[in-house]
Amino acid sequence: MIAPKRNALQQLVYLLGLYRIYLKIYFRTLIEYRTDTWVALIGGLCAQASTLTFLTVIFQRIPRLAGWSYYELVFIFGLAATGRALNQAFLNVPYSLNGYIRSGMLDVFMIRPVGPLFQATGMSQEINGVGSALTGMVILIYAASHLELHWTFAKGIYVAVALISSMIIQLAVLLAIVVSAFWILEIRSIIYPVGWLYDFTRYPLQIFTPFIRGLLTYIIPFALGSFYPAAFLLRPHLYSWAGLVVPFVAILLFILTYNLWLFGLRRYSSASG
Amino acid sequence: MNLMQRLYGLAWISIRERLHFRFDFFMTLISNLMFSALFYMVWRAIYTYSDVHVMSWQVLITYVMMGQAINFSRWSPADRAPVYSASTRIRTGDIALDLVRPIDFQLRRFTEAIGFFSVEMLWVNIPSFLLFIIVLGITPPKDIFSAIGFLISLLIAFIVSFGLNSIVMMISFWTTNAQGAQIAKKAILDILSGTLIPFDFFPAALKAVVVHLPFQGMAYIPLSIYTGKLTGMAMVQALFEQLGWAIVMLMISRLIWMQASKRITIYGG
Repeated sequence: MIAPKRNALQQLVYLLGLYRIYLKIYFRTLIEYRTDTWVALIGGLCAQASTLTFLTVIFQRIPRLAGWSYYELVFIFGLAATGRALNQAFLNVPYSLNGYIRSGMLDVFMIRPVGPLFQATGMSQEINGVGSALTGMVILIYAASHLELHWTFAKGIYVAVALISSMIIQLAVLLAIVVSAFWILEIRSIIYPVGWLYDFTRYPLQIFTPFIRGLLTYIIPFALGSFYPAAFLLRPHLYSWAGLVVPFVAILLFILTYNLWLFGLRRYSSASG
Repeated sequence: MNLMQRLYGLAWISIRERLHFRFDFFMTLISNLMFSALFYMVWRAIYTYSDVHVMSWQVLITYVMMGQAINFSRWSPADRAPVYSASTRIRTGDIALDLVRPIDFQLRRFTEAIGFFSVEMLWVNIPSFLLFIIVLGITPPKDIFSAIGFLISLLIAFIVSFGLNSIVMMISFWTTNAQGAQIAKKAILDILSGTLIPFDFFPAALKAVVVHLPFQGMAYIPLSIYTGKLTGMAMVQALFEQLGWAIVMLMISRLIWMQASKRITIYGG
């Protein structure tokens, strides 16, 4: 069957509709395997609680860390952790792509009339992330309620923009690694450590050596999706540049990686071929 | 062939099996060093900014870095693989094959775990340990008794860890989401075993709870022996306590296994 011609807007509506169906399917599996769902939610909750305990125990002993107060640190942590969890929940696709390539599922995606990346994304929801995201948001709100941030509508919008940027920056970085799986099939062990680098950005960047700071700002810019937007919300005058740079870098990175992905896809020869 | 020979053979098979996944272990080493660097910098900042010090910098960093070197809650293939393979076998029904084999299911898992642990020691723990001594200048054990005590404690810690992993594995007889259970286990261990923070930093109430839990056997006891906090009779007492927990954990996992295997029979019935 040949896909009907659609303009950009029609295509967007069509894809959103499809994504809704993917979510519906996923939701049904969640209800079907109820114990699994509970285990996943509790797992996510434990993970966030564990790091929060770490922060709390430590910061009972010190008033400030590199100029940041306890609640400011919790705020940074909450924003970073929520971005990570949302990425895991909805854009977990880089982790599952390797499996799709190995099993030949990618070939199946390629003969269907929608982009393979979209199909893979639709099939890669991860409920563990939802538990963490909910906990992350509670932590974020808890910290915000103890800080005098003078919330405005614009700031609220910026939190959403920052979280989406964070998701996209992580997706772009990890996807770039997966594209190399078209040439090197053993990628699983590299993608995990790179993903974990993100955990560094849950702390104020000032505590790290210049090398780590540079790495997380310029080379693998995870910090642009976590520490900098949080710092911008906390100290707008000091980090004013982050306001626009964050969403801009996210869009730019996504365009770059998406083209890399298309390039890789053209060069792709099936794993089982 | 007697039992010991059979177990030895099985353990050796798992070691050789794991050695094929060299790249996995190499990357585990890299990520372990990466996380150690992260925690080193976090602790350095904490130490710099605190007014009152719970322990000296040298003891603190030795404890925390050794915690990373022997980390039993590390996200490593050695830790993940047995749990995931059990849950996959349950899903596909291959578990039936394991049940008809002439060797006990849990004993087989135990030999597998020995294989994983030995290879992880060789590829991750010992290289990390040597690097920490050379690069970060952490302190070696202060005398031969601490060194021997630490090694004994590490072996018991392995058994406690096996018991816990075994329990998590058994959970996959009730749920197919082994990953969720694994995440929860790692998160709980990070804090309650004393891997990330020495118990001395905990508020009194929390400390009173964690010293009565089995998890301390996987980090706090071996690390306290290593750093010389537990010596002489206190060390021997701690080792016995740890051994007690190892036995309790094995018994719990055995009880759950007896329930779980009954459950399979019902399903297959």
